[in-house]
Amino acid sequence: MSARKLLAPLLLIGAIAPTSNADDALLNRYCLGCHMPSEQGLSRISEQRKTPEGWEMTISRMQLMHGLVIADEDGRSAAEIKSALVKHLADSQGLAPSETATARYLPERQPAVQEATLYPAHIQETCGRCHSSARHALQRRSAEEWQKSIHFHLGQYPSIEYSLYGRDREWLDIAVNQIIPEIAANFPLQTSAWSDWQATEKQSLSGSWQLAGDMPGKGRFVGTMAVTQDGDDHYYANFSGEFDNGERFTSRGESVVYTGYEWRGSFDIDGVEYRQVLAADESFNSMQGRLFQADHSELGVNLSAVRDSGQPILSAVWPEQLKVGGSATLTLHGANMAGAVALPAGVNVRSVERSGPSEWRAVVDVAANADTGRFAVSHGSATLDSGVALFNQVSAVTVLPDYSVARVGGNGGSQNKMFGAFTAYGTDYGSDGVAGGGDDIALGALPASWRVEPWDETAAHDQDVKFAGNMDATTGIFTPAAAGPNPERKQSTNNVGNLKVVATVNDGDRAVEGSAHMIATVQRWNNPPLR
Amino acid sequence: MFASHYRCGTLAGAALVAALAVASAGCGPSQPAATSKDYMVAVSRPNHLNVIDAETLEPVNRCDLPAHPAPGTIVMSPDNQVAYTLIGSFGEIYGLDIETCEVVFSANQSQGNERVRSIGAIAISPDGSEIYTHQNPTVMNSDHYQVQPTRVAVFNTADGIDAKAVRQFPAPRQVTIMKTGDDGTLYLGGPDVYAMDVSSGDYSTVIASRSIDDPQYSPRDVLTVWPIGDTSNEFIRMFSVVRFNGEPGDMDDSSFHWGYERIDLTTGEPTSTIFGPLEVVLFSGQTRPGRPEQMWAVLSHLKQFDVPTQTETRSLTLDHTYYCINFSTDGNTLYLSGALDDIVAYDADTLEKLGNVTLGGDMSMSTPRVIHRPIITSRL
Ligand code: HEC
Ligand code: HEC
Repeated sequence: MSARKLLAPLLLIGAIAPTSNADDALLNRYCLGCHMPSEQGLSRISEQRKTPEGWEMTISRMQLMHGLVIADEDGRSAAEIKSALVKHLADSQGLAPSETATARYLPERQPAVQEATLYPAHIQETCGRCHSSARHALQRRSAEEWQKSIHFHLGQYPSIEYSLYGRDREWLDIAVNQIIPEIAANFPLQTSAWSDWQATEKQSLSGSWQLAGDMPGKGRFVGTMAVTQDGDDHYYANFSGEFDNGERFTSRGESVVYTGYEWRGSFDIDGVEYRQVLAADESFNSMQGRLFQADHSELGVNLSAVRDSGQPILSAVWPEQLKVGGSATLTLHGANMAGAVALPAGVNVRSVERSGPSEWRAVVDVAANADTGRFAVSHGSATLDSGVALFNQVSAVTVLPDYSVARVGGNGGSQNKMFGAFTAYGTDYGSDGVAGGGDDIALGALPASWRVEPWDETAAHDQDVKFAGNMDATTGIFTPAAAGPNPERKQSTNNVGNLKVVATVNDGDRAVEGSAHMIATVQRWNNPPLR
Repeated sequence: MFASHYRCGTLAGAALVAALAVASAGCGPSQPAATSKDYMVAVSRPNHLNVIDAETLEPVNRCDLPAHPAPGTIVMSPDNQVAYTLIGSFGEIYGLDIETCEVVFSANQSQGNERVRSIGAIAISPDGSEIYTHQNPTVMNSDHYQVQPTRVAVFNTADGIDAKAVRQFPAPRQVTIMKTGDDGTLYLGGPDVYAMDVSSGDYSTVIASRSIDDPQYSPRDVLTVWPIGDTSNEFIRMFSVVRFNGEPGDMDDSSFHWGYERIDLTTGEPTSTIFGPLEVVLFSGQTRPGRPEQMWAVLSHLKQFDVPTQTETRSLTLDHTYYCINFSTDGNTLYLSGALDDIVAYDADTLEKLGNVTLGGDMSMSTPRVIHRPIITSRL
């Protein structure tokens, strides 16, 4: 199977039409008829801006609900035509980088975002109870268009007025007169961010990139991407990387860039399909985002990428924390590194094991009386601010995500299991020994051993720990049990559970624990690109 | 106290055979054969209207419905011959003769580019000449939707196939159930409970619900799509509410309660009262025919409450959830239905399970009815 065939239609590879005239013709070809021409373009369509995923979902709705037919034509497959429509709309009516900044967790598929902390309760209750509130925060529309959205919702889903958070209030009146005016004011069609972005000259993302990040279950990550451009906004990338658990990979994949900065890559890594959702910044020299498994978006790496144009780059220091009075093997990852290595005071190099442009490794001793805190690390002219923490002790362990949901699956059903994936972070409370005393030191991610416990008495009584799934003691990855009723359980309930996730970090001969709350629950029956 | 008393011909299912010997002694061989009895009518997936002998729990007829079975709300003609079903994805009404399965009435509420949905709100006039629905209309333009004000629509049953609304009246939004009083008044369960004059369309609030502003109570939560209570001739819907026993809003000093909003359809008398403590979620409830002090409600439990003392008197944990509760016309047998595909009968005094019948398809949110009518010869 060719790499192209592996890609979901959303990724729109290889479908990019040469000129925008051709794409306007495409819009007219497929959308005219139901949508009327106006001065701005086609009715409704011209009054909205959104992400590529947002456009893809709208067009899918046109197909599913309204009978839009996109078929193979003129030597192009239906998927390619749809991709071209999405590409054209996202390019000409997309969002500026600053407009997506606060809601990137949605296309990045960050698994455990608690929107209740991001949106006010009245917005969450009205617009965040079926899908995420980021659905609207990642769109810009005219006020009239936002009102039309209410009519679509209520016309299509009359139950909205009758279900929880609907039946206890005058839903339509509140939506039309309170919620929509607020949303319309916050997310208007015309913004200076967008006109500035349209005026910005977009730059090619081809070249070499240095990547760093971390992934629950695998630890810290560094990698490189060699990107070559192949036509407008279409790229090939040789992607290689390693985790601090020792795993390494190389993969060749491809990517499409939307709206000048929305990088959507696709890679097959050791037989597993991965998606890369990155946003280039306004300099086109760095990208931020996430790499995740196509079928298990909860398993992913938060990534930052820096363009390698020959200058020295220091992208990661492993480990991120050094205990005073101890010794460790310290590795600096980067590109084009040369010159002297500058470590924090009190960190003394015992022996250098490796010194190359992309990796420097040494055994270091940390003086018992070294100052603690977070310090910069440099290699020649490349510096990583706060690159390493010197600490006395692990005072506390925080497990993130602190609240999350895992889902049963498999067992012949159509739904994948959704794993729980956790990371333990340490803090040294400093000389005052108390949290928040002003001298706390964030230690970053720490290796831990993992287990689950019942969250409360009911969970203990129902034996949730036994039935809900398995926690891998070394990776912190929780695998939920099989879907479907379990005859061994009271009233044959599903293998759901209310669990406490406990991480134990060893600090010398002390063991420090931290915990988080995880609900293992039933499947989610739809899994759209944007929830 | 709950000693079972045997009644002529009202036992059902498995218990029937065992009880027959005793029952026949009491009834005597000279008793004339009954010419009428209780039946249940229920909509089930994929597209069936089931007619069930409520005493034996044997199906006696099964008609194919001409449209998608949701929501499956039924109202019966006064002679209990025609079942008017709200089906067709909340949009169409079909009247079927429950003996012949003939479709004698139909109305597609959607007309032209206006799509109409009714949640569970369908009612019939006492003389059977008019059907009422509460309509949620949306105009579907070629590139946008336009939600329209809600209204009550009136259909003449005599118009037969492809009937069109003969009158329409503006009505509040968010109406889920409706029933008619013996005097023809149409009661609508929405934010409040309203009474509408079906000739003028004038309506007024008869039971305040959402519009109550009492700081000692939380707002009421009303969840219903089941216009039940036929055999007690009542309009009834339950609400849950928090009572603040100390300072208003102080959850630490509060209690959770079930209550009902009820209209006696014989007299038009409204009542709005708490009837018991809230311990588990319940979906539908009705008072027992002839015993208005007994309130019964169901979901994953069957519970009996004593209304005057606002206490729970009995509770039974069920093997699965049932959305709907119905009583036999004599008030002695309870039928639980809805949600999945079986209807189960209990003796209302002993809570003995009398039997059950499996329909072969889920009832989902449909509202089965218990009726009393001349005997139907089984068509199955
Ligand atoms: C067969 C008729 C039909 C065709 C063809 C059609 N649409 Fe639509 N479109 C509709 C209808 C009906 C609505 C209003 C209901 C809705 O929002 O789903 C709509 C609404 C929309 C909206 C507003 C959605 C919102 O969330 O407010 C957008 C944007 C849109 N269409 C884009 C397109 C694009 C792009 C195409 C061509 C690729 C297209 N449509 C083709 C019927 C059509
Ligand atoms: C009853 C559940 C429900 C509620 C409540 C709800 N939505 Fe939606 N919304 C949906 C569904 C279903 C879709 C269609 C999803 C699709 O097109 O894939 C949708 C789609 C959307 C879209 C994407 C439409 C497009 O084509 O671009 C936006 C934006 C949106 N909703 C905003 C809102 C806002 C704003 C509110 C609050 C006023 C809200 N939603 C409340 C269910 C809901």
